[in-house]
Amino acid sequence: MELFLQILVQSITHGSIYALIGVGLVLIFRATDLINFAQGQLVMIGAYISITLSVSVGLPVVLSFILTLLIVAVIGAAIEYSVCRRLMRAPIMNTIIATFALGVILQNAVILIYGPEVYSMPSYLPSHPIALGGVIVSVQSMFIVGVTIIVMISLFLFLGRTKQGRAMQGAAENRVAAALMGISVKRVFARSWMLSGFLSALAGQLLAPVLLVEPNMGIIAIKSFSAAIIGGFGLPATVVGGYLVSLLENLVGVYLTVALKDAAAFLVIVLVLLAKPEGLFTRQIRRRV
Amino acid sequence: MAAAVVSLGVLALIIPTLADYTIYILNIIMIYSILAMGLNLVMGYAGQISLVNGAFFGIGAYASTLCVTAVGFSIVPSMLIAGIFTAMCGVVIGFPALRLSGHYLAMATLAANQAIQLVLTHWHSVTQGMHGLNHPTVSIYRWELTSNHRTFWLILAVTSALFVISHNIVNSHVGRGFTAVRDSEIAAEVFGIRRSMYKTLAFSLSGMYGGVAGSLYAVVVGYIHPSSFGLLEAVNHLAMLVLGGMGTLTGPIFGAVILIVLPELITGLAGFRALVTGVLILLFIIFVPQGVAGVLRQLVETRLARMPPSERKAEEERP
Repeated sequence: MELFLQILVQSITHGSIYALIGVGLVLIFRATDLINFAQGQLVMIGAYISITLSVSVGLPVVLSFILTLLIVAVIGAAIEYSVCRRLMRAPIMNTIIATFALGVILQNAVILIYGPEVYSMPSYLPSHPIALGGVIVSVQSMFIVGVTIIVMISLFLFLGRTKQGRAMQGAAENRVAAALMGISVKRVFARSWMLSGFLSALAGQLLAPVLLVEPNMGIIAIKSFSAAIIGGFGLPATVVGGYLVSLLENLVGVYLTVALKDAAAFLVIVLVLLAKPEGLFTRQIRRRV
Repeated sequence: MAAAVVSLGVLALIIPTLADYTIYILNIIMIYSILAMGLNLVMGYAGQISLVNGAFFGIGAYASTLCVTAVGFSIVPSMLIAGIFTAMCGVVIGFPALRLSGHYLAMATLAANQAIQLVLTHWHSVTQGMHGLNHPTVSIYRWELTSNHRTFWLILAVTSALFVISHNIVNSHVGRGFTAVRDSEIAAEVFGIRRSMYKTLAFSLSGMYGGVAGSLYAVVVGYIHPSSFGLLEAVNHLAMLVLGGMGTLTGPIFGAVILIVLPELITGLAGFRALVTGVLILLFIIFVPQGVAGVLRQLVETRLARMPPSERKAEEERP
């Protein structure tokens, strides 16, 4: 029982990260109809910038945290402006290849600038674990989950209640109609990418003290792809998907073998895409051709 | 035909004079052009996004090496077995392709690539995992392939054969079926082109090409390791297609040449090479998506279009 609770804690922690990255993915997809295969690299950049600002530049933690979020948001907008705008009329394969290449560029730029060694981010929180009813929880885990909840709630409030948020939802649903209604679709694109960059940097900074910061850490985004696929690329469903993927992989990791842990996420992708590609939570009628 | 014999003769004269490293590069270029040809069939002609090619490369390399070391076959049967085995894997991978397209297919093949790399890394009993596998020097009948110069001829033969095969496929009803599926699945189905069959065939062909390339790679490099067959490898294959030109016969070859030669011209760290590859892919996919071969084709077509009709007919009828 205690083991299961421990697994649960682990799953909720990691699931929050997957959910954050996954929501970033879905925001971009719903607004611009393209999957950002460089999402993981944005996460990685968030972690690296955060370390640079707090360790090398020596800024206070809170300042470097917020500054990193803003910087990566700007990077996201820059990507949108330079790459995605030009690919708006291109075939799907080209956009996929483009974001893929972008990921390669970002990753290797980081390797060139920082070197291929791993860095470890000094934890900015007290590091002694807390015992909560039989399970050991680290303060970092609680911080991750707490921040995720707050950010998610804020995000959904933003999307549902503010003018800009509703504009984004409208443009996601029907770009032409939104434009006709006076919504600046270009601004929606830019905002989606900025939000996505923000969320990725957040995930990266939450993750940095837990994992080693290395150029390949962006590979975690594949789990978020699973989450987004499970969620059918819908926003709340992707969050649930993130937790489901995390739970599944931790269960597999503990009760089967650790080696299969990553494979669980891949298996999920393939199975869900085969059985129910619109996501587990969507009730749409599929196009059967 | 005469041209082929002449060029073969010329090669026979030139090759022995070239330096070992040059020959090694030529071998690698040919191996990568095989990979690119296979990927071109599935992506350029059949229009199916396939990010799993790196894994096919790896499966072929391991299958062939195991045939040579564990079973004791010589290189040619091992290569054939590796090709067939990887083709079968291609069929399995192609199965999800029947129901997926676009982004979903990209993600599924990406996941498959990672999963296969995981299997290669962790299946110690078969693949020795992170230790890698050594590939011994092989021989064809009595002719020992002890040097790059000797291996060159084997690779040249295989590459030429596969090029001829891909040329024949593209110009046959199979190739036309591929492009039909690419351009409009529904219309193709209406015309009686069973897209499930053609999609599966496309994936299995890319598997076969990848498998054969992997087998030759193991011979040339002598040591294989799971880390060489992951996402970065799939990106390289993609780069070859984008740079060289998808959907053309010569595109893969141009792509392979560019991909292998360019880093040789830029001396620097390995990270710099990968960065340049990424930048090139991005620039090309935005500004020159048809690739080098596509640009050449456009130049030829522009030249043809400018001629008066009588000369144009004469040009077009030249073989």
